[in-house]
Formats: sequence, structure tokens, C-alpha cells
Amino acid sequence: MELTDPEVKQALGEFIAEQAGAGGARIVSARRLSGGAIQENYALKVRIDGGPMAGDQALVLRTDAASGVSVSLSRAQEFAVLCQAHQAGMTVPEPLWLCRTPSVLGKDFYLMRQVGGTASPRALTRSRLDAAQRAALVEQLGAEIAHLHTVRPPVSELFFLPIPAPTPALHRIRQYRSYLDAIGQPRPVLEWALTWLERNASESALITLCHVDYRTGNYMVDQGELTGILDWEFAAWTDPAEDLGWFCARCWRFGAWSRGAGGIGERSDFYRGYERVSGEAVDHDRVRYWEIMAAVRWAVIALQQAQRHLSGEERSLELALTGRMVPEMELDLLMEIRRIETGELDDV
Amino acid sequence: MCDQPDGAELLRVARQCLLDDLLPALPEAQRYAARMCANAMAIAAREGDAGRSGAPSELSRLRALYPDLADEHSDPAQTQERLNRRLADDLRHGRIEAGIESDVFTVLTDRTRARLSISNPKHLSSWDSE
Repeated sequence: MELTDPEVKQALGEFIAEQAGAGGARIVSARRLSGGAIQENYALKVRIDGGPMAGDQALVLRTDAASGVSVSLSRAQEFAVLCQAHQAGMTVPEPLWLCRTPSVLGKDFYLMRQVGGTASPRALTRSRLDAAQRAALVEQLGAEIAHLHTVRPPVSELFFLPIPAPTPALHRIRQYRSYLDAIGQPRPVLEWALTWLERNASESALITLCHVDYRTGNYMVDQGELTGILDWEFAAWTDPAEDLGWFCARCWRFGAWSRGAGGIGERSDFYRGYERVSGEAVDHDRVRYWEIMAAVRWAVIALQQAQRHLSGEERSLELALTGRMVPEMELDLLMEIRRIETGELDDV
Repeated sequence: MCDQPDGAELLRVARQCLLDDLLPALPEAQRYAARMCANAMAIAAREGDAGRSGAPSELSRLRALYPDLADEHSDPAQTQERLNRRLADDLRHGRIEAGIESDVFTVLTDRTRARLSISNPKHLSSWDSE
């Protein structure tokens, strides 16, 4: 079923009217948004007659792609996580309605409000924001994720999320080793880093709701203002420092290496925003530890993407080139671990 | 021995043509793909150059680490794969001294720098400038 099909539009309009308590709703336009091989996102213009949402509404419909085979959350699970994030006070596209009735679209989908701006890492890391705007943006990004981390297990609506065992770090190490074994290509640097991670793993394990893909590229900014945090499909119960480490990791600075917070701003501003909401000091060493984990994770994902190309499953220039990025993460691992070991860390 | 210009040189000149002559004529939506093509050609050209240079190979570094396992007569690609697998396995199980002062650390760093000099020299220089 396609969103351009008049019958689908009709059914979708009826679903929206019912959910919005409206007399009727009409899909004025539906445009597929770029990005996402596993999910499809459509920008919808909807005219709602009557009820509390009467008028023209800009919404986003998110559903699975036809070929979507995913190890991440289902759309219904993602909707439940997004609702939790919204309730926790995060700036997210407001989740509206989940539809699990196959007669509408033929698959699960949910609707949220559309947010403006750009998520493009190139645009954001190279934008002409001044120092004050950069500081304000990363401070807010720190505060935002701290709001999410106030959500602690158990939460009955998130029954589907497993608690990582024995600890979040050891769970990840085990996971990445098994992925490397499945790829079958020896990667001594990644093994070296994983052994370091294992030996330096913390025994204590604070576990909170985490985004797990919190980085530049996954949030929208409009003229320097944060408008919404996106891409919730990897959300999990884990160590909150995993989100901070992923955000600050060198591999997510898009060449703006001197800006330690996502290639956008200063790490100290990011931490200050976090601390303002959490009420606790950020454990800098713990974040550095999870930055090492982040580089391993991205390297493993890059190897998996190259494998998809090499196996013929999905021949693609982008996937092929991603495979050749692995030595970038490997050198980062060698240099960052050496800096940690020698105590030569700077503020970046 | 190849005729001149060799493969690497052909890739370089083709890349220049792509960037200078073709890219400006493309609609915005296709430019990202064209830049990816140019990047792939640059990597392949550098890889071609590296194959002909006399720099110490990854294999010779691995052989120095495992002198007893390095069979001079077997196929170099197979030996490299075998030694890499052994090193990866030793590192996972902590069976080899691999602190930041060790020979292993030097081997890992050298091979990674060699690979990066082909796939992304800019990333390499990001560390050198610090």
C-alpha cells in the first residue's frame, strides 16, 4: 500500500479524524522524507475539521520500509519510548497516535508533529553559529538527555526493553565480540580495545532509559534552536554515560575535531547542561570510557555495513565506503586509550 | 609493468574530470553520490600507489611479532590473514603483552596509520596536528 493511493489516504484520514475527535480529516499532501533504509517517514499536510486540532496540521508518519528487517525496536515499541521521553520533558516531536490496525496502511505506523529545521551534520558542524549560540545549543543538548535519564526501570509501558546483564558495559563487550565473530574478519585493534574495555569496566551499574543513538545528525535545529530529538529505534536500558560518550565521541564530530561536544560546542557546556538537570556531577572518566566503547561500536557497525555490500545483499557505494572508515575509528581508539593511560587528556 | 599512465594515474585524472567538469552540471540531489564516487576513486588511486612503494608492509610487521609462525614459503596473503587472526585471538584472550609501551601497540599503530594513509589521510593529520 502506498500513501499516494486514494484509498489509503481515505483510510488514513478517517483514522486521524477518529483519533483527533474531529468531524473529518483530509490528507492534503504526503511526501517521503529522505534517510532511513529500515523506516519510512512521510511529511503529511492534514486538514482537520472540528475538534481540538481543527485546522491545517503538519505531521510526520513513521512506518517500516517494505524490506525492513531490523534488530532495533518495532514502531509500536518506539512509540512507547517516544511517549516516555515526551513525558520526561524532552524536546521531541510530540507523539500523537499509534495505529496497529492493518486495514489502514497494512502495517503499524505512528503519527507525530513535524518539527522544523535541519538534522544535517555537515550543515550543523559548519554552520555560522557564534560562540554563545554554540554554548547554548550544547548546554541544552546536555540538559535534554539528562531529562531522559531520569526515567528508571521498571516502567510497565517499556516491558519489552531488557535489563543488560551482568552490567551494561560487559553486555556490550560480549555483543560486539559476537558481531566481530559473525563478520569473520580479524580486527586486532578492535580486539585490543575490547580487552582494554573489559579490564577497565566499572562494576557499579546505574541503569536508566537511554537513547543510544544520541549524536549530531539525530536532532533537529532551526536557526540555532533545538526543535526535536529524533531516531529512537535503539533506545534501551543502559548506563547513562553511554549516551554522553556516544555524543562526545570523536567519530561523531564530522571533522570538527576540536569541538568535543558533537562537533558543535565545548564539552564543558554540554556537561553543565546535564548537571543542571541531573543535579549530579558528570563522571568525566566514565564518559571517556564510553567514548572508547562508541568508537568500537561504530567500527563494528561499519564492518557490518561493508559486509552487506560485499555479500551482495545490498550493493551500495555508501556501504562500501563506510567499510573503509574503520581505520579512522581504530586510530582514534589507539590514540584515545593511550591518552587515558598516560593521563594526557585535555578538555577536547 | 603497466603502460603509462598507470591505473592510479587514470583514476586521478578521471576524478579530476568528475569534480571539475561533471559535478557542477549535476542537480543538487545527485552531487552527494558524485562526491562519494570521487572519494572512492581517490582511495583506489592511493592504494595503487602504495602497492608500488617500498614502505614496510603489514605482513613484515606481523612476521616480526611472530617469527616462529612466519613461513617464508607460503602465500603472503594467506600468511597475513593467518597472523592477523592469531594476533586478534591473542589480544582477545589477553595472551600477549599489549600495553601502550609494547611492540604490539607499535605494530597496531603503524598498520592503522598505513591503512589510513590510503583511506583517509586527512583523518591521520587530525591526530598529527594535536
